[in-house]
Amino acid sequence: MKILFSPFRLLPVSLCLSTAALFLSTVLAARAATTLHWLTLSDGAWPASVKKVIAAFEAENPDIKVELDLYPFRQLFETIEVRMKAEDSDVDLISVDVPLVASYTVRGYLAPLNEYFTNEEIEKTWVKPSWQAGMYKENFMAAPQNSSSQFFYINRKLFQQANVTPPKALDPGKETNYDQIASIAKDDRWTWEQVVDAAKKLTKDTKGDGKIDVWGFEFDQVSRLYQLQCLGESLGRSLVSPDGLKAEGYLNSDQWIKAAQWYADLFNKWKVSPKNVSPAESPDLFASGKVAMFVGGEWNVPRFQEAGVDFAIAPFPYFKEGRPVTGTGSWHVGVAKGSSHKAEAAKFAKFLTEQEEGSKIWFEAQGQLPATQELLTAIENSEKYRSFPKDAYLLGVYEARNSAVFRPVTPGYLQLEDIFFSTFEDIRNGVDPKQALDGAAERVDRFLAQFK
Amino acid sequence: MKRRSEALVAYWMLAPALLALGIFRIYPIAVTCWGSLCTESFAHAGKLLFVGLANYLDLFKDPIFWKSVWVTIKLNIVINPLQVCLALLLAVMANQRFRGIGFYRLLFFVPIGVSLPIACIVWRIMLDPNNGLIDSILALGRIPAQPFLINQDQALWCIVAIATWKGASFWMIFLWAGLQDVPREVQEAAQIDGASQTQRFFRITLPLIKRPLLFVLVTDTAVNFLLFVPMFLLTRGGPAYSTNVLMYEAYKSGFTYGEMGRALTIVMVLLALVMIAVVAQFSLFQREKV
Repeated sequence: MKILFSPFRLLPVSLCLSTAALFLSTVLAARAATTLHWLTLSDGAWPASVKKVIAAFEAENPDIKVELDLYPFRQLFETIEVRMKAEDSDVDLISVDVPLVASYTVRGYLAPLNEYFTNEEIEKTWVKPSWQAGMYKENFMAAPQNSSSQFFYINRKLFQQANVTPPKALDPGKETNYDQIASIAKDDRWTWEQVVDAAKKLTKDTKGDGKIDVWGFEFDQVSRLYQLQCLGESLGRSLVSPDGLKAEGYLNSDQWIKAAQWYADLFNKWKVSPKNVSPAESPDLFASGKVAMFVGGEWNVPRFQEAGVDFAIAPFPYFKEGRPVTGTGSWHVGVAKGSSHKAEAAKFAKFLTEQEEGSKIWFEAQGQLPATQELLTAIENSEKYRSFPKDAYLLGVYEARNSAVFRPVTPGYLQLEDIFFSTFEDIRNGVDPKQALDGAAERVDRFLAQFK
Repeated sequence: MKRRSEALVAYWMLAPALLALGIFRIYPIAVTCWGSLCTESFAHAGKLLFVGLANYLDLFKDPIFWKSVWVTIKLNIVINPLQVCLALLLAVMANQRFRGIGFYRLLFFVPIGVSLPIACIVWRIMLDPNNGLIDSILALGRIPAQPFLINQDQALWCIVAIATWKGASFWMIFLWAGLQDVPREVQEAAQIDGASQTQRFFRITLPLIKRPLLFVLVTDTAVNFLLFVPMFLLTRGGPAYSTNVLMYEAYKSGFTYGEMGRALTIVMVLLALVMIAVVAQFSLFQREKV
């Protein structure tokens, strides 16, 4: 008996038993919990912000786990194509760039969410353009995660050093209300012509080695449709026909050629913007003080604050002969048609986009303009959004009401977006704008023909 | 009867290899061929529809496709002879025996140890038109900064240079192995007979390494027709479609535009092109044999 209970025998036996118990409990726990897989973005602060929402959701729903399959912006679309075509049942949730709702729906990638979101609930929760963008025919296909707006960021220190007067803007240390912002946006908004004049003075070779160290101006989403759409639209021409089935005469119209020439001149004639910088790299140039003026999304505010750059925020510029136009629309979240956990996936989508707790965590972590009525009302009414940089959200609300333009509604958006990007990359690299846009319009129309 | 049973045994012995060939070669080609005759229906949630040769007819009417064909051919006309010649040169150099040759051999092997995506990223940084190393070196010689990968006249040749830097060392190994099989006595006999170094190389060495040379030429051609990584990582087919090879166009059609029918049609065309090139190379070597 003594021998049986000797410590030399007890130790391995107890180790074996505890390992077996641990294994069993792990297996049982894994069986009990449903794991959702979400195909989403890996860019910037997105994954960290998303994880905050997931942590709150998992605390409330211990039987559901959410795992992220992260991809950079461009690869995300390609991965969605590959995995949805392969009817990958491991995908439960998909981040949907809003112009793609129709395309994903007709190709059977998304499951309708009507069962989980009532019409009354939808209309009450989100602003109309956002929920409408998530509909296809009578079905609610994707829930709006947030909206977006575009700002004109100014590096105050670089303006001061170059002795250039900056535009009237929302400045640190100042309180601003909605009416004051509306007045700045109406009366003091800079034109693109003013931006170029200032950029020429701000572009500098500070070391004297023949290389530019400070650039005057840069776009956030270089060459991407989302941000450059405002150029041609500011001159009064959309990218495609109203039915979304023709690009000839739109994408290569005189207005778009003029806008593209202006874009080309930034890099090749005036040389105030750096070449060969990708959209993933461009915000870092402003954050590190290498760019004096930057146009980009409101999601850059926390990033620039964290970097310690001394910046102000002005309304998005426009062409002198045109009208102010800003980009809007953003990410929605949809449930994959092949998912075997649709109800759980819809529950998470609801928590993230609709429920007060989830949508608030998301807004505070990511800083993107919300799409819910509740958060937008809070921005308008709360004192919290009167001082810099939170007052920029009031500017976002103003732009949403007065200058925001959604991306074109066309079944060929996927092709249009990619062709637009490569065409404007070519234009940035010196290809003649008219030749590039004529070729692009022809190619887009070749794709659009199949939808007629 | 005996011959028949011997043949049967031979087929049984070959069966695993034939099975693998069927699964990994013939079946994917058959699936690709079938896919090139189909398209997705937008009206029926992506359901496959048989369209016959419509994908081929649409493709042959598309100027972007013809531009891609030309870029692919242009790339291969330059890159294959360049890589094979450089690989041969490196192999001859590595085959020398003198003090310190180990160090040079190590240098030749360095590119093999770097994966192609890493090599592309390193070269992208070096070729950056804003602050790249290559432009800084050119500046020392008072040569103006070059746009390299963002210029439609230079991008393809930059890719040729990067792929050659990576590929030549790899192909060198096969040719070096071939050179080591060349009997030393034959070389020495020719030397005694008064043959110069050049004569010995072209009359003795080259004919004796014909088999590894043919292998390198054929495999290198097949690999370069399918070259994709540098275009994907460095230029995305641009500027102005100047690096938009067929493989990249197929990838973009299938995975960016969601047109798998078009993508598979391009792959079939690519397969035909590779086969033509390989058959031409084989027949060239066969003719020389006669």
